[in-house]
Amino acid sequence: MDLENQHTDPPYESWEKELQSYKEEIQDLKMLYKTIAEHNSTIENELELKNEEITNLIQQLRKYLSPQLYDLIVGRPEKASLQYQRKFLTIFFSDIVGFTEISNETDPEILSSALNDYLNDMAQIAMRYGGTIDKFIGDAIMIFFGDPEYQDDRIHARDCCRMALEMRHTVKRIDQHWVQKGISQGLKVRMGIHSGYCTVGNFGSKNRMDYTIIGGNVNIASRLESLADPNAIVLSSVTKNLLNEDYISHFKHSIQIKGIHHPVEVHELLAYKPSEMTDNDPLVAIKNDGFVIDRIEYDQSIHSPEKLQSIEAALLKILAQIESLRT
Amino acid sequence: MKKLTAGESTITYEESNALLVFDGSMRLANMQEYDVVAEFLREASELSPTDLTLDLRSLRFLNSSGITTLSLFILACKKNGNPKITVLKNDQISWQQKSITNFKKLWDDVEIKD
Repeated sequence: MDLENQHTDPPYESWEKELQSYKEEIQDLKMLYKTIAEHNSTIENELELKNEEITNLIQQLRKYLSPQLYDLIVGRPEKASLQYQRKFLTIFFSDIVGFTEISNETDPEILSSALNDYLNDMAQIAMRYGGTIDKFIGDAIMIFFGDPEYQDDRIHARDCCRMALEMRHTVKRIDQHWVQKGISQGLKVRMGIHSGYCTVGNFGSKNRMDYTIIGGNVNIASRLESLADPNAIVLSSVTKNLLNEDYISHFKHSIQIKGIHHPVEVHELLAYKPSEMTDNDPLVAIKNDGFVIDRIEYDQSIHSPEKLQSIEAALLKILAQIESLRT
Repeated sequence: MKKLTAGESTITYEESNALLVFDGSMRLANMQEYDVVAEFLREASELSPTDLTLDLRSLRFLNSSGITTLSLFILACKKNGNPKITVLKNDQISWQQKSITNFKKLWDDVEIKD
């Protein structure tokens, strides 16, 4: 048989055509497979991104929402009930000095915008330090540390104080903006911090619950705030004793609060001494490239001569540091 | 005008314009459920044997069984040699950015328009 002629036999031609057809079909199926695989990857990648977005959103919501509303949103309605418990918390109150006068003298639109910006800035700081924003009461803010996530009493006190110091720093910046906007009084804020056992949980009716804290210690924190000077942060001795030496404060006086049998010691928080500072002076912290000094007060009728000496020593340190920075 | 509802999506066929308009989110459970879609497309291709436009611009989501159904439809048209397929896509919808471009790789005669 002639092998070359065999290639031109009609059956072979039909096989060639069939083979070609199968090859094309395989090519199409490969392309189909690729199309589906790429489509799946697109959907999966999008799903991953959306999952990340949802996770981030839920984490944000956790900060903005009360725990029971958060549980409802993330699908745990059984946890959103009228429950409460006793817990040791650090409680923070702040209030704008002379807000009633500011309201009376300022255009409502300017005031609303300024107040919202201020509250938003404060809320951002509170969230950064892990505070639970209990509520905004007009211009006042109520925040607590220790629930729903409990870490450690000292950590809660420390975070609350650092939050307050950062808030005060931000308030000084906002103060200038308010003056520029025509609010002649500017922005001055009082802050008060106290730590103690509170009842925390959901209060209200089954249809309308508020996640909040109640108790005598909440009242003490509120009262301390009302006693603070403009732009001052006052602490009870309970909170102060939870801080370490990085927090600079001084004793102001003792007060008697209605309903509380013992006098409450009031301290003023001056500064947080960052770890890079080497000096333990309560009035001034000297750094390699500068210094930090907070308000120094002296009243001969109430302060001791030792206080005067420590102020003098602090001022001398600052002068020396100024001199060294010049050279 | 003929209309097919497939879960949360609809396909409308306008014979006068040889146009299939997809709308919504097409997420039927499996290939078997997509049989009605495949049949609807096949009928449209028989009624519009020359040209057929698939307007996917409002199709927000298409699952893998859906893309398989559309791809198999395009391969069937390729095998028949007709109708000539034009696909309208919307690059604002992420799944359309790449998957629709692949239709042209299945059949080079497919025309893709934004």
